[in-house]
Amino acid sequence: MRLEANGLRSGHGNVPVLHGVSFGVSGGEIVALVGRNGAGKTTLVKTVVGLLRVTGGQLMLDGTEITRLAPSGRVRAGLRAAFQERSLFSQLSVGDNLCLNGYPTETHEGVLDMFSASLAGRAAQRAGSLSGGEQKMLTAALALASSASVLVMDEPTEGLQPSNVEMLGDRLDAARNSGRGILLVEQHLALATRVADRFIVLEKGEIVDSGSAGDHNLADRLAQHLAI
Amino acid sequence: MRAASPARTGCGDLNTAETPEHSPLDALTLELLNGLSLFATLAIVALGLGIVFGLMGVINLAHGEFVMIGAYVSYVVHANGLNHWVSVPLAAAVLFVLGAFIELTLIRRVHRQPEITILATFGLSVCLRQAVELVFTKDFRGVPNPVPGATRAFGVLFPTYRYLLIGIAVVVVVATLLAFTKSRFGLTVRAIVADRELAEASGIRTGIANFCAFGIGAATAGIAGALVAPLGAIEPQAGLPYLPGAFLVVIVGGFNRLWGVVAGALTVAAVQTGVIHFYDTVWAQIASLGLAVLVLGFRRISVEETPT
Amino acid sequence: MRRALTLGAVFAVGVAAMSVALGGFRAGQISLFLVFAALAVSLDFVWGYTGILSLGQLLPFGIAAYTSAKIATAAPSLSVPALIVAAIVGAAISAAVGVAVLRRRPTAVVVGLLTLVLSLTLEQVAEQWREVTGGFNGLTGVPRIGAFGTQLPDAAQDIVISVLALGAITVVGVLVRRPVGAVLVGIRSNERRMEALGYDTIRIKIWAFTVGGAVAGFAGALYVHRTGFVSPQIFGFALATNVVLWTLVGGRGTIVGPVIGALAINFASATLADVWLQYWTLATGVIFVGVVVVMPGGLIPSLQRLLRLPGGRRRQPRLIRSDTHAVTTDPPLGGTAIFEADGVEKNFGFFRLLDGVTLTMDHPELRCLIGPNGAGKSTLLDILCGQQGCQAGSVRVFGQEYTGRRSWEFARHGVSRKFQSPQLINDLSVAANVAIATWGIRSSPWNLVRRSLNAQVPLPALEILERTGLNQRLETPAGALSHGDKQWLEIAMAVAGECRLLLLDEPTAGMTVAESLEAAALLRELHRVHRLPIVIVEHDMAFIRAVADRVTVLARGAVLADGTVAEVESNPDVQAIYAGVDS
Repeated sequence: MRLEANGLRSGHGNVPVLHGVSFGVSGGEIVALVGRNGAGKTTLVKTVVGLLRVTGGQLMLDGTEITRLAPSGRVRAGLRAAFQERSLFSQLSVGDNLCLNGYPTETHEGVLDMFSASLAGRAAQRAGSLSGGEQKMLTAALALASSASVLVMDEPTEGLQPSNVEMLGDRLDAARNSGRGILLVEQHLALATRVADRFIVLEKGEIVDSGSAGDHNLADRLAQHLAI
Repeated sequence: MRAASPARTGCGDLNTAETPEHSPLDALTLELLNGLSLFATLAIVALGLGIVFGLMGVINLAHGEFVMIGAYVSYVVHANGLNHWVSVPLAAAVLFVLGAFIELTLIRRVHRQPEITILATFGLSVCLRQAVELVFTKDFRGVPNPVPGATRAFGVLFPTYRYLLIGIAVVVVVATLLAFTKSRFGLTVRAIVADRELAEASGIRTGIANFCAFGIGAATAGIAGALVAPLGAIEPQAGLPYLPGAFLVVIVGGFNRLWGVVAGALTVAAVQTGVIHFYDTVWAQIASLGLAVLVLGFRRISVEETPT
Repeated sequence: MRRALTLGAVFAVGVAAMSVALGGFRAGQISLFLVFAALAVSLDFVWGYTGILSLGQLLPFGIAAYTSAKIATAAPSLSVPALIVAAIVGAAISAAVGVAVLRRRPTAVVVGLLTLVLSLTLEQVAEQWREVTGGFNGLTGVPRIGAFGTQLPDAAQDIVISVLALGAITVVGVLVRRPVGAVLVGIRSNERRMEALGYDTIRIKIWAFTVGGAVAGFAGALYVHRTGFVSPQIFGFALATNVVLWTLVGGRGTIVGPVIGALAINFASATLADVWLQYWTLATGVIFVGVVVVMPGGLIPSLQRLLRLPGGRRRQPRLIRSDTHAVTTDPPLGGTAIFEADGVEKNFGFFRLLDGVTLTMDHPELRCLIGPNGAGKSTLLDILCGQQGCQAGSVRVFGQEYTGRRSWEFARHGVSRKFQSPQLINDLSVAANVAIATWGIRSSPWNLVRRSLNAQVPLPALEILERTGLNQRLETPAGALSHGDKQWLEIAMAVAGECRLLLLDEPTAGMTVAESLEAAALLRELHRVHRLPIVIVEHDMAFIRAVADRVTVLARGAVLADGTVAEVESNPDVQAIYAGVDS
């Protein structure tokens, strides 16, 4: 297992949100974490990344425990996340954002080229002035271009136009094939059903269902879990 | 005794340049130079406060003591027969080490609770004053003016050292602020100010940045101390009078905005110089206090207290 | 209250006897240190109880000292009335500072800075304004307290000053045992919550600051008679540091702590300073920093914890069943809607959170507000109870225009709010939390001083306490409850005022599935029995199906659909939003 959570508990302030969540992500695997609004998906992402304190349970990355590590320590240990919102320094330029994420200037164009031509040559632009979709792509690119062994993608398709969702799917495929583990957090199924190897369903801070992409009744089960 | 000490009146004492008979225009020039001198002192003293507050949200009530220790570095340099200008970089180095040490041992433990921080640095200021008193006693020390005499420019005589002080202070303030806006470290700092969580999650070690910021803040205070050392008596209490002025600058200039230090120092210096011209230093202090209350009234303060 | 008075009287007799026995020098020390203790207690009231970090408590102390010195020097026979004048001067100074500083809700840090700068500025004023203050040397030769043309002899004055200082301390001790003490603690630990319960917190804070100023002013007058002089250093950094040190070391929010802190530290400095002056001051600095870092609560609370003493044996409010049903049992009169939000717009920067939302409730019902993240649900709830204002549109509650009013005004009008995460006064007991919720609607400061500690609790709140077993644990501090119990206590508090409209923000957050269904049953019953109108923001559809009469769906700051659960669930627009094919 590249990323492993055992009985993970955490919450906001004194409100417990995750009541003991266990899952694992292997190398060369995309695990889709799905669940309704308010199920605790973003809390889970923030806990894995280290922005929320773990109040119980354990987190392992490539066999080392990272439960008590600061977020920056987890990044160095090989964990990268693309957040759903507030994922870029919007006041700073695109190039500054790349620098801050550890990309030397000469690599910038390569990272920006990752998603067709729409971001290329725009390193000097303020990140906040990119369109919503472009910000999403930049966020994804910052994670995907890194050498991290585990990627956590929080709703990367939200607000992305269909052709770009396709492209994101290709990049995720490529990242998986290079042996990385990917935790894909999604509220909607379009991308997840295309690329994910396994599914886990979160509800009220607990994992209530899980299955492999091959399970014959999976689609129905997921639809049921995600219905309003 | 205390009133007689030039250092006791803090920034205000810098406005007492000799004023022989001169024309109204010359008087105005002199007033402007005095104002500029006050601005430079305020800006360089407030710079470190602003950096530490903007980046870490820490109100450092011991900042005046950092200035005072900088002045003592100057005194030690003089006592050992070295050139006064040696003391400026030396004070920066000494204070950087002291500041970094204090960050590691004290600030780090409390910096997420603003109220506790303010108390801890309050206590720290007592410790520093007293420690200095143990080493150097309460006696007034002095550093001779390395550049005595006055320069005639714009039609008036003005102390040469004061010109140098203005120049050096402005260079240090602008260079520090430019470093914070242009360098890689500066980029990191701006990222942390913009969004500490995201910075941490992008792999930036915010703890190290705090350590450096506190060190740099202290170092600029050290430079300020070394620069003002020849202008007044050096004693353990000498840092206290700088505190109100520097805080007024930070309040007026705005929290969380580095260049606000310059704007705040300009405003406070202008108000104080103007009021001193017509009344005296006390009214100047009261006027800038009123200004701070007004500014606070008109602006939402972006210092969020962490809910417990 | 009787306990505090007895304690005060016993101490007064004890100190008087001690002063006589020890005589001269010691008696003088005791009286001076008790004056300092009174000053520390005034800071404790302002900072320890109310949470206003005043580093300028020397302002009322010093100005009153100067005033008193002036009066007593000019007319020695007026020195007794001058004590009262000093208290009034202190109160007036603090009231003025409080009004200037506290009205804009500055953070503790800003208050600390401004009050400190103010105090240091006054030191300079006192040095410069020679005609009035005597300049740097101050005013000397202030006569002892006197009346009818005679001055008290030294020994007698020491005892009188000791007793008067103890009297001032006792007054504060009595005050904090009144309901207002619990309310001040509430404001200190959660001001927003207190406001949502109907407390005009700014007014109460200014009141507390003023009372603290009166006590400090009184102490200032005693000080000047005791020492016979006053100089600008009375406003200086050294004394300012010391007052905070005494209060901090003894323990904030305990009254006894600062008294012990002031006495212990002053006796220690008096004893050690002769031998050891420089090291002693350094030691006080180290103690200061050490206490801040190691035991920020101070000595007394730490000792209590260490020795497992029952912390704060304060008398708990008694909860009495209210005869009147505070909650509405009848539909509101003649066709007035319960609330009407009309065309509400709210922008946050360039982002439009609410884009002309119109939402009304005509008769008591259980309404759920749902919608994707960022739809504006919580913002709308905030606007319905005055937590936030809006840029356009209007809010009417029970037929009255309430747009732009403060949240405490909404609360007094019957709008009650439960926040998403429990917002309790963690330091206070369950009973005190409920009591505070009932006092909120009639909470002028003096009313909170005069009223009894009993609380008239409406039936629904008592029912919740009973059902959840919280009534067995009335003395437990709220902070020690489990998360689930906190949620219940929070709901009980929301209906403990004169609640006529209940707003709940994600009441099941952090609850398990089973707990949230239990919550649904309880809320349904509350609504059915008491006909209480309830609005709930929720995500959990199982809960919503169990609880809602009617559901309103918000999306992108506007109402998307409205109807029964089934209607909404089958609405294609809603399905589209939730299935995510919305772009």
